[in-house]
This record gives sequence, structure tokens and C-alpha cells, in this order.
Amino acid sequence: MTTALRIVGAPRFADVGVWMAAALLLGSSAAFGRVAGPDSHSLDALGGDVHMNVPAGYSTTEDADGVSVQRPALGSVAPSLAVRRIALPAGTDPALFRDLELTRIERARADSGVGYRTLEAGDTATFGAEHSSFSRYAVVRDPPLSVAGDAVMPIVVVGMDALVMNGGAAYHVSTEVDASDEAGAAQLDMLLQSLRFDH
Amino acid sequence: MAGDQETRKSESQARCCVCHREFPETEGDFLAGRFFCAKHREDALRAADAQLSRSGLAETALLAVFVGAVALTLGNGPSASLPTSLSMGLLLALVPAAIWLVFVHRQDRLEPEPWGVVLGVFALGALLGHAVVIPGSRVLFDVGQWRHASMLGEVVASVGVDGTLAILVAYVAVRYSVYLTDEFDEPVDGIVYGVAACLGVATALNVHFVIDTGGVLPLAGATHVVNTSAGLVAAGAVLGYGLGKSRFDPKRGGLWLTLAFPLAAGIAGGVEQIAMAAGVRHGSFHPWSSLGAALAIVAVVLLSCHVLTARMRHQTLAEGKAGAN
Repeated sequence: MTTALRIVGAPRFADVGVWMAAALLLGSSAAFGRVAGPDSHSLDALGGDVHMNVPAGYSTTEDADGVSVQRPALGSVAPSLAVRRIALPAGTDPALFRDLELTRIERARADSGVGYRTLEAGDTATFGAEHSSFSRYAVVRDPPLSVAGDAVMPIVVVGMDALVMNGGAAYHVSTEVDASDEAGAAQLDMLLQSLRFDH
Repeated sequence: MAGDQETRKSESQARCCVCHREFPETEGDFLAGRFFCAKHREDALRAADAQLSRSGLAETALLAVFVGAVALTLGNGPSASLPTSLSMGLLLALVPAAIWLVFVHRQDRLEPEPWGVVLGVFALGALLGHAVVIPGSRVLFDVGQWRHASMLGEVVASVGVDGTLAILVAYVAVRYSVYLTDEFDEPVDGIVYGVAACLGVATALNVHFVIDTGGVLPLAGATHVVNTSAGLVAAGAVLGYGLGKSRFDPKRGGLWLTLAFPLAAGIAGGVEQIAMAAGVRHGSFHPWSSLGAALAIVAVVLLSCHVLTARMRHQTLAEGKAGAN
């Protein structure tokens, strides 16, 4: 048996009390979240030589020669940026050092997975530094915490390696992020744009 | 002459408001302005009493059995985990929803609501839960960024965002659909449809939980699913009480509804928090403690609502208010 419904009350945007209560609860919760939530903060690392704005939710690790910033993640490649100071051997030609170091960085990156590809490479003055050579890459890896032979989908990792020369010092700047993590890639772009080296 | 005989015949017949069949008026009775056949008249009079068998206590116990069955079926060892498929999500979410829907339908024996309308409100709640509550909480309010920063943050996120959004969409699902129709013809209908809408929201939340949460223990996952549905059933009963009052008490109905809304949001979010706090001891999670705490709170709320709805039914029969707009 079917039941025919008759509309007996005109639709009205009444019940003002309910909507006001909902607005009050949601508004005050949003305000609380804005105050209580983590915020982006500026970071001075490596004795004040390196500055960047770290996005909310990212953790920072620093030692004497390097600093790394990453968004904690389980079971996936965490978006991360690392800056590592490289000792310049005394008496070495800077151009020769740069070529050797770039080759070493590229080889290490290629060994970190399979199917390594350089997507873009060039020399430029970025990060407020005197000179930097960069390469954007893609490489295929197994997910973190998996072991060889696991039936898991491999991950395409994209990122950038840059060798920065500044004030007589050299730095290796590297980023990596899961190619499917668009939000993480956008956060890394903002992080890179805020990265500055002091003279 | 023949026409007069036909008129008298139709006047002496009346349609039962429950089974919709025609009976001679002498074979039934008018209660609260509506005709009941003899069988449904007896049912209606019995329904006006507060019986523990209809209070939801049996359903509450049945849910504990469901959790145990999930743990037994899917395993509870360290390597066991809840499958994250859509079919498993739907199965785990729909079993408690079905148990509670039967409970809801049993609440209104005076004039049982049509299953089609109850399920329609349930589906509307599920759609709104999927479209509004989940993206609202995750994207608009971004609670994942701040809810774990402190205990207060957990409470504010659960009650102020998750609970409020869930109750708001359940309110919209009832208030702008069946509430406007002649099927909403007695105060207790508010509870029936309020709970149905909240169950729809709970089902959407539970399906997302199962799909999104990889590696959770079956016992812990089933406990979370049952806690979510039970908390929203209790909240839906409170919201529905306010909706019923709002429709049939022209003087103070608006005030009742305004008070019921934040109370329902508090119950929806509070049950989750209290269940979680009861289940965590010395850094590990004890699902049975969590389940026990959640079901105990829900049993108290449902018993309270049951007594109130029994009063509503007595009032309806005594004052003949059913059908009033």
C-alpha cells in the first residue's frame, strides 16, 4: 500500500533559535581552532645562515650540518625539504667542485629508487644566494615500511636537488614528495619560495 | 433513494488510520480524532504505556553481540585488521543502523510511520552526512589540524563541529521534508524521524571510517562504528523530541527545539569523547570498556526519551491533538 504525502505546512526559514545556536557553536569552534591550531612559523637554521617559513603541521630536525623540515606521514612519502652544508675542500676549483658534487648528488638520487629521470635542470640565482644549480627529478620507490617482495604499489616520487653556492659555502637543498600529493607539493613550493641564504 | 442508502452506508464505514482498511464504525473506535479498527485500537491503547521492551535496551544489548561477532569473524589477534572495502564499510555501518531503525519504528505504535517515509528520511540524512558533515569537518573547519592539540580541542571539535554539523543536517533532513507533511501528525513522530535522520548521518560517517581507516583491529573498529551510531541515535531522540514539541506546542515549541538542538549536539559529540576516555587506560585502547560506557550513556538517554514519549502518547490520546497543525 502506498502512502500519499500531503504538504500541510508552508516551508519557512523559521526556527531562528536553531540556526542561531548552530551558528554560535560552529563559529566559536572555528575561532577556537584558529587560536589553538598550529601556525606557520619562521625558522633560522645553521647558525642563522638559512631562513624559511615552516608551514603548520611540519616538524623540524636540525643538527650541526643540516636541517630538515617534513610533514609527518605514515606509510607514504612525507613531503620534505632538507638543507645540508657541504664542506668545500681547500684549494679546490669551485667550478670543478660544483660539477663533481652535482654528479655525486644525481648518482645518490638515482640509487634511491628505480627509473630515475631528470625532468628539468639549470643554473640560476635563487634563494637569495649567489649561485645555484638545480635539477627536478622523478624516481620510483617502494612505500616506506615495505620490504622487498611485498605486494604494494610503488610510488612515484618527485622533487628537486639544488647545489647552492653562497658566501664561500656550499649547501645541498633537496625536496621530495609523492607525485600524487598535490597539497604536499603546493606546501613544498611555498617552503622553497620562503627559503633564503644569508651572506 | 438509492443515493441516500449509499450515503448512509459510507457514513457508517470508517477507514482505520493504521491498516487503511474500511470497517463499520461499530467495529472500531475513534481515538484522538482518528478511527482505529478493533485490533489496532488495542495496539494503540497498549502503545500508550511505557514498556521496557520498547525502550531500546534490547537493541543496545544486540549491538554488543554484533561487536563480539565482528571480532570473532574477522579475528582479534595482533595481525588482524578491518578490511577497508566499500562493501565491508556498508555491511558494518548498516547492521547497527538496521537494528536501530527497527527500534525507531517500534516507538510509534499509535500510528506506525510508513517504512518508505522513514527510510526516505534515513537516506536523506545519509546523503547530507556524506555531502556536508564529512567535507565540512575535514575541509571547512580543518579539525584534523587542531583537535589533537589538547583535551579541550578534542571536546570542541567533537561537540562544536562534528556533533553540531551532524545534528544540523539531521534537523534539515526532517524539518524541510516530512515535518511539512501530514504524515508528521503526532509529537512522537519527531523522535521517529529525528532518529532516522541521525542514523543516516551515522551510516555515512561509519562507511567513511571503515574505508579511510586502514589497519584498525576489527574489535576496535566495530566498537567505533557502534558508538557512533548509538551516540547519534540518542542525540536524534533528543532533537526529535524538540521537533515534535515545535510542531505541536505553539506556545513553547520553538523554545523546546532551541534547547534540544545544542543538547543533541552535546550528546552526539560527548558520547564519542566519553567512550574514548573510558576505553583508554595506560596508553592502550580497551574496546569493551569504551563500548560499555557508550551504551550505558545511550541507555540512560533512550530510557528518558521513552518515558517522555509515553507521556506524549497519553497526552495525544487524552487531548486528541493528533493531526493538529
